[in-house]
Amino acid sequence: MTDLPDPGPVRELSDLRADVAGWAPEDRHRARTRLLAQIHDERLAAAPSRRPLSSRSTSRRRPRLTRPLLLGAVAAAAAAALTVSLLPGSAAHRPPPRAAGSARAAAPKSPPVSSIGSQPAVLTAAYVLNRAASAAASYSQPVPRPGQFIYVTSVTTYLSTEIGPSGEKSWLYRTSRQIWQSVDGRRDGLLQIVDRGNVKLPWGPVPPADSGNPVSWNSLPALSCPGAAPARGTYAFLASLPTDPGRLRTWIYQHPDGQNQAAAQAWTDIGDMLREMLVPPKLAAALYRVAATIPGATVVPRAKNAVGRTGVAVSRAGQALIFDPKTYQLIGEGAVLTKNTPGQGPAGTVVASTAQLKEAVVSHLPDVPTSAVEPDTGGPAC
Amino acid sequence: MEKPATLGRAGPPPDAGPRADDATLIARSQAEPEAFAAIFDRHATDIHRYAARRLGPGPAEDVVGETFLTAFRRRDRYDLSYRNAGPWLFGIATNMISRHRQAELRLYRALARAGVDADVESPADEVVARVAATGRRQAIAAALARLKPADRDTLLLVDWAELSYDQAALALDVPVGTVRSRLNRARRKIREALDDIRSEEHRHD
Repeated sequence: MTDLPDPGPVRELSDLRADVAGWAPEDRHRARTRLLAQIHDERLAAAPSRRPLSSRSTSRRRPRLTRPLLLGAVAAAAAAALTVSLLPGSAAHRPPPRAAGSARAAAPKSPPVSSIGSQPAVLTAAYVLNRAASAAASYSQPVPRPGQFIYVTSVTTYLSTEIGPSGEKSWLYRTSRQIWQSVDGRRDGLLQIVDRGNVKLPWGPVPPADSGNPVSWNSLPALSCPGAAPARGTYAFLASLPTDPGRLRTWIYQHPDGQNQAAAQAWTDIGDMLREMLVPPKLAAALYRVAATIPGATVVPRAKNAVGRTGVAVSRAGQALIFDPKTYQLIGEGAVLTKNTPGQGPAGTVVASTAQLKEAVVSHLPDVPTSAVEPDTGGPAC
Repeated sequence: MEKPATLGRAGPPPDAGPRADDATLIARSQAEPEAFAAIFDRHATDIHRYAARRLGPGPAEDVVGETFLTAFRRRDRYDLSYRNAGPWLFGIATNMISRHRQAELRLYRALARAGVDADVESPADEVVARVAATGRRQAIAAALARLKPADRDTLLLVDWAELSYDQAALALDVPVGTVRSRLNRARRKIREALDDIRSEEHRHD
């Protein structure tokens, strides 16, 4: 049979659907714009293990396929809470008292507020952040060695926006994450994402329920190049930063990890450094003190993290850090839209809600069959 | 302002030299990711048309997006000795299309049942000819739905995407002999389906 001569092309087949409707120029243009945005996002992802806090559906870490619907009441509650509470409300909308930010900036090492012990009458972002700094400075936590891994577990809810022929469609998707990041960035890390389902937004479409594999393993490529200093995004890099708030503030403003306006970028960069990471205590304290000097932050007295735990949040331009109200440990992050956004939702729509549950130092990656691990498809780090 | 006519004659500006080939652009995109947009500009319409023929315009849009993002992420693995990235991109697109296999089969089966194609503007041909053409279209669509996925991929890369056998082999990462034998088998099945419908037409004459 296989020795038969090639029957040659079949004209009727070549003609079939040959006149399929063409690609409208505006659709093509949109696809091109979207690709460029994705390329831009991948480039900005200095630490591939991170996802930008209010990213559109372009982060490389975003699950590529939509996953099974496993609607959690907690997710809905968290989403609802964030939708309401992170929106600058009547109290939070008021500018913080003038003294707060600058006083802390001038005397970062001896914040008068944190030594008072009782809450001031008006809760300011600087007060909360300086309390967090004092708490962080006293953490006792293991000091990892090069070659080890920082292990962090978290639960996240992010806005997923899909751009289709009929415009943008959005819903929330929930995941549980376990991440192993090389301390010095010289080894490959690992990320497990467990899909926890999609949550419909009140004004949005019913999210797709795709019964894909709910557990994915992703390889995280080594970030640091041989012979070079530790790469941004690694513990070793954080450990190399100054822990004096004044010097750290200067460093942060001189090394923006993006192109936003300076204060906005500094706030975002601090969030990036804290996310899914074990932060050296002195550096964590300094980061909070620097954050306390960034203008424009407000307090959200009651905000919920992604597992429904209530904390006190400091929010700037819709991006919030949530702290335990007693211990002032960071328990998660939240982000909301600051203005009505077509295809996504009205101002106040939650676009991110996380809960960081556990940080630890481990010496080995878990034993996962290579075949189960998605290789990283980004470019080489070096 | 005067036109820089004399400057033009002195030599082309640096960017207007001979058109950079795909390999050069992909290499450049390692350091300048935005350079990858030129790869999209060159190939996206062809990829879209191919995907739209197999899946319809809606999924085609997704396939194009997935194809170019995947290609961008894998650009460091592109073999720069191939100056035309088309076969590589069609290979990625074929993988993306295979994720929509059920949709593709539904499309062929619907076409086999109804004979009319919602995605194609109906040509105003003569009624009798159209009826016959419709019957043949139905037969081919039904045969396409019955092909093995690998045979269908190969057949459509050659007959719809118009890749050469060598290019199809590159796209599918198989030896060119495999492309030949798959094509052979697939085309024979399509012909058989057509022969069946033709003998049917004769019986009705």
